[in-house]
Amino acid sequence: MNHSRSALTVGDYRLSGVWLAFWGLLVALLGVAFAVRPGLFVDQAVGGLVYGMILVLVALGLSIILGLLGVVNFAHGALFMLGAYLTFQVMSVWGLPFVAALVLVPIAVGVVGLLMERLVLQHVYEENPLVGFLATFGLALMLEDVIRAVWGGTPLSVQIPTVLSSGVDLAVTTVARFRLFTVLLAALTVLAVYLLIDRTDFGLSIRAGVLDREMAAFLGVNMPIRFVFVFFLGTAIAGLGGVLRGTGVIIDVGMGQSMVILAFVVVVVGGVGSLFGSVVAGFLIGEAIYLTPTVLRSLSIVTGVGAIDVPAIGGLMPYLVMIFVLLVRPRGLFGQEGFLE
Amino acid sequence: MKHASRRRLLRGIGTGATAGIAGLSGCSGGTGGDGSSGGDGGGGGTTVGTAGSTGPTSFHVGVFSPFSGPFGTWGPAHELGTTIAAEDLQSEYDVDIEISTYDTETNPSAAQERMQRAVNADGIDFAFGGIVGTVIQALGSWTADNGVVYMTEQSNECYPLMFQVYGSTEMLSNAVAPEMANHADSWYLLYSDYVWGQVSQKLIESGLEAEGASVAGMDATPWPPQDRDFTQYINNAASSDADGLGLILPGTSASSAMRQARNEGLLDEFAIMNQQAEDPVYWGVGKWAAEAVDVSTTGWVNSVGGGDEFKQQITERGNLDPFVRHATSYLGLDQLVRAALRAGSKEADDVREALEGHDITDSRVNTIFNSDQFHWRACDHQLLKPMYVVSGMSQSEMQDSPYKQWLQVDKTVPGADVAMPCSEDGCDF
Repeated sequence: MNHSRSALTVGDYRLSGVWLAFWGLLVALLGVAFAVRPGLFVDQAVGGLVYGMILVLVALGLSIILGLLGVVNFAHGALFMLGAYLTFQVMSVWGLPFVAALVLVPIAVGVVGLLMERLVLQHVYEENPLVGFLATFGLALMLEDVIRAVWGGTPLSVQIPTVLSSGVDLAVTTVARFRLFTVLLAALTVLAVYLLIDRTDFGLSIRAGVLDREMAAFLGVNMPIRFVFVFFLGTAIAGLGGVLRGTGVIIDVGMGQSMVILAFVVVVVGGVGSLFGSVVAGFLIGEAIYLTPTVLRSLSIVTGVGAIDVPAIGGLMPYLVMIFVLLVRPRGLFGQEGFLE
Repeated sequence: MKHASRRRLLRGIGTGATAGIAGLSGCSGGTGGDGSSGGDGGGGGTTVGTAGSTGPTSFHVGVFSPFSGPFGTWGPAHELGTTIAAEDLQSEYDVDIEISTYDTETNPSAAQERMQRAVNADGIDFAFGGIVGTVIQALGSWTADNGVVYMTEQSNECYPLMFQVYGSTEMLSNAVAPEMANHADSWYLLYSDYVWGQVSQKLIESGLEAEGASVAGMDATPWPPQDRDFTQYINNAASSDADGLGLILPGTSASSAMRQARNEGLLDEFAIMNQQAEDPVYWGVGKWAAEAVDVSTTGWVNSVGGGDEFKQQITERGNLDPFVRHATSYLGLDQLVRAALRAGSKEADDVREALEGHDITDSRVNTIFNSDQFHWRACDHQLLKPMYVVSGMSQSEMQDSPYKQWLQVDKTVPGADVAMPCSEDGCDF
């Protein structure tokens, strides 16, 4: 074993000189961006946090389903979109309050997910993974057309609750109260899922099924029930993401496709089947999307080199992050067999 | 230059046989009227020969539009607009017009494949439609290579057999910039990072500067948008010194950006410009979105005076209230068929010559658009037509019945005043 003098040991991790330099540069760049425009930096950091939490919600469900069932659920984005449209139905058409949407919509989307699992996906678990992918792809297209048939093709929106529509003063900037609520609720959801999986016997049986489905079944664990529950849970979480996202932005039939691609990126970056990885990756990608343009623009102001301010770089960041992570660690940040790291 | 094609050869054989038979029967033929087709500045009326002589009596038009996907709203609007135009022409000229629709989705390859099938298997004479730029480009290229006249909404490309009815990006941008300067001295521009957005941004920026206003900053937003999240760009605008926020974003993206600005409490702090406004985007979002628009330009809006009967027909028969795509699709099919009737032929080059330089003066189009100022420019096949500078009404003034009318016309700008000069548009036929 080589012990480099330029390495730093932090807990169980050794950081080489290259990595130290990388992190040091990153901190310096963020520091420059904050120094140049502190208010904007905080705005973007909060925005990245909010966006990242939405990604976490959608990717969490995807990761749970993929980790346990081995199913690449391409319909996940469509279910997220369904959550947004159901939010419109509950709030704008039926006139129910936002709280009702928070409760009813995830349950409804979970039921739809459950039906998908029982009617279609349970028949393809033992097949080639491509079959499951194609099946969910077909389901996604069907769901999209059903949504368009029911709610039409024009964009829709819902009213943010009055209590959440004002701003919160954070000294250097003001942040919309709804965005902070989104962060809080998403964090609570992640925590609840973690506690369920890690601190309950039921969660223990699910983790056992992830590690060795056959052995778990031999030991009397009812795996089909757990499959159904996990699918319900994963899709309900996507539905919750749809509620929060649909209330924050415009609801339209394209929102599912764009979100599912990003969700896959988050799952890959975090490591397939890793709950913690999905959370970290969601944060990382959300902040990268929001802060990278700010950092580059601040650098261009400081250095006077306009070419540094690359237009539309934010949209590329999820994929650049994915490429970087996979080059450095092909299994993702926390990818390894098992459900929790 | 004539376009050689298999279709043309077969038509030539058929036409020759028909002409021979007609000659033997002693038909008088002739197109009548002043024969105003061809030549720039030819102008003049739209008198055409009576169908039933040697001219065409039946037409098959393909309507290529998205009937699925994120732009799926536009397809039915195109279908209805062209259908009403066909009905009007059928009663005026005693011709038969068949319309076939084809779903282009947002996929250029699929659109091209459907055009190919429409021409070769279904036998369409002309094509109309296209919303997405890449689809229009694919269709324009294919139809030019295969001798089919294609009338579309709007494109930054030009092809010898493609004609554009909506009003070019240049016309829209040059019409809106002076009005923007009237609303705010300093603007922050958000533009979609593809040709339409890029061209609009450059023209609007130079237009603002020509009027003494300035651009405080700008952001290129990803296209296609990976998510309707423009918060980071709204944050940039909020931290700038701008008094106005220019949204050079397609409809859904613009309304999403406005919503996020509203969530941040910024909507009241900016004058809002939304390039190329389309009513359905606001109808789904809410009246506040339309009300927030201080200035925009469009090819048509249902508050344009006149055309009440047309608007009523759309209201009764459509799944959406009348908006610009109904009007432009009516215009498109109307002009295709009339050009063929003037030319006495459905051949692509004959129709092209009949359109180039033609002024629209006695069609229902003039009533719908409440204007006689329509000219088909020969150099780039752009229809020089009125561009409408609009803004959102106050919510108390907005009409919901019999159809939604939320935008008002503040100014009508002749297309000729804002179109790019022929020498600069890069078209070379």
